[in-house]
Amino acid sequence: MAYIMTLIISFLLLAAAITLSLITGSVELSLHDAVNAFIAFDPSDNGHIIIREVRAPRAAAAAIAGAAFAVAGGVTQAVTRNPLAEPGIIGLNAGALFFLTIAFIFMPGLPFTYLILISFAGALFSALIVLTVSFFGRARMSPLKLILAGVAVTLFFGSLSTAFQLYFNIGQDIAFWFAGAIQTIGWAHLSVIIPWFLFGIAVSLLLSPVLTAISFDEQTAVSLGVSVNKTRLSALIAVVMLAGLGVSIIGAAAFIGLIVPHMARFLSGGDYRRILPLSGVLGAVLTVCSDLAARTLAAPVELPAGALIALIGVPFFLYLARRVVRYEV
Amino acid sequence: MMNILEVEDVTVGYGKKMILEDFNMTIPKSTITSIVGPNGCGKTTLLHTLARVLKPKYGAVSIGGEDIFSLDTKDVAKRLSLLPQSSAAPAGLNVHSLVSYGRYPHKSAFGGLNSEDAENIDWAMEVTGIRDLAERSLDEISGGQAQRVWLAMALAQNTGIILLDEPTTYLDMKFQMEILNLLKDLNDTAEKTIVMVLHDINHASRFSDGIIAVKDGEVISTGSAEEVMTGSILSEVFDITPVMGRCPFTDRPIITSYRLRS
Repeated sequence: MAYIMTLIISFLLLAAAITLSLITGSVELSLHDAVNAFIAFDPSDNGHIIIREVRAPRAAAAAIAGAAFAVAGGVTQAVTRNPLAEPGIIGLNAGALFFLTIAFIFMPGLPFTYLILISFAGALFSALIVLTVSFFGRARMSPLKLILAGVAVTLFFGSLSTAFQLYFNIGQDIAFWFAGAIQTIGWAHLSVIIPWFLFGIAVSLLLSPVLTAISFDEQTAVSLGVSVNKTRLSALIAVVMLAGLGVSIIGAAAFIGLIVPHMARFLSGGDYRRILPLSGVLGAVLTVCSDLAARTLAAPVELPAGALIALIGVPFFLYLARRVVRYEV
Repeated sequence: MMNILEVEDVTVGYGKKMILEDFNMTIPKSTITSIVGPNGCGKTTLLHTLARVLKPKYGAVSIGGEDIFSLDTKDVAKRLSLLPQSSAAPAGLNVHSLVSYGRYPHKSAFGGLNSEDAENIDWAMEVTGIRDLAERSLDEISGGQAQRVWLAMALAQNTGIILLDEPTTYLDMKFQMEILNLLKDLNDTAEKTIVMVLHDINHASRFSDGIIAVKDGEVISTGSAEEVMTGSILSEVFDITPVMGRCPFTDRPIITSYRLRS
């Protein structure tokens, strides 16, 4: 019961955060405008247009990216049995960055929707390398192998990207893109992303009972009748989808994937059937709030949402770590 | 008597290092079998092979006459449970939720606990004496209590075959005896087949129908306590000179003391 209450309160917080970001900005609008923009849309009302075409897709994108990173983080922690894991650990961010770098060099001026797809493809590509490396040979898909392969691929793509960016002098474009993807996002882009999002979330939630069983030690998981490798593989596919689309929206803010599952764990116990849904909602709340802060705190200058997430998240995370981490890792 | 578990010409190990080669063993249904032997002799490897945690390189393991690897792993989990030597749980899970994961193989992914599940969980927590710990988190209880929680989880699985890797480690003398009595009781009343790795050879003698003595991946001796628990066999297996005596409760052979072989 306590869990259901927590979930309901989190949803209410999310609704409040989204409403607040619909009416707050360079043009201040009222709650009345926000409601009417959806139930009695007036195409001649600028406020309605701002809400429907600018702020609503942006809030939705922030919520989607936040939920995606948070759920992907919870799944990654279960699969790697590592409480410090986040989706970036399997090389996603570095791959996305590398592909974007290549795109900026060889296809400058590519439209936004393509860039999102390219960053997504990069995330998929690097994750595929990591999965392939860890799938073959001894100790198939062992958590340690996954992490080692992930770190290696991250370093490899990271240094390639840095070298290319320096040589072709495109570092600023990349940084601008990462900070700016969410600023210009519209429903057209979201309609590309949402199916992937729903698929990734559905797979994660379906797997959640197995994820708890798989996060026991290997022998216990096997003796409970869990197909360990099959589960790891399907879970990682979900992680790639979710974190890949997250990266394409707000850049490498995978930090959400580290802290939010711990918040959810603290609030709901150690069962992934509870951790994952709560992580999704809390991740959305955190990201919508951070994005709102990013565009209002220093208006008209936009701060990078990723940096703000860390700014809000890190102190809170340290507080949690001090207060509640009784368990030894 | 039907053999519920059979190991046939099994070669198994880790990577390139083989621990057991051409290994053969049978476990009759509804008996208690103890595997004994020195450290590193392959006891745990053998138990993990029986539990399909390790896949043999060559040879076959069968459960009730069927190849264990051809069966659906969830179906095997309804018939066979394993208590590993040490276990790890995700942080924050409380004792009751942990034990209820023993019901995992019996449920569809999102089915809640039915009354049969609840009965099994309650019973398992009752007989292992962890009722009072239900709401506690695993990181708040002692090693011995945790060991009983893991045993409760394996028992809640309610399988015909229970494999245990040193179930009495971490436990004080009273709980050691309680657990062994409980296993004996399960064998007597519910006809469970029990296979365990035991460090305490006197416990093995007292509670087992059959003992398998293993050294360097080879079976040195197998049979009843009377057959295996002889001075010369124990001397060979453990590299010691034992002084043999009789258990005052069961009249079975025990080691009263020992010294190193000179």
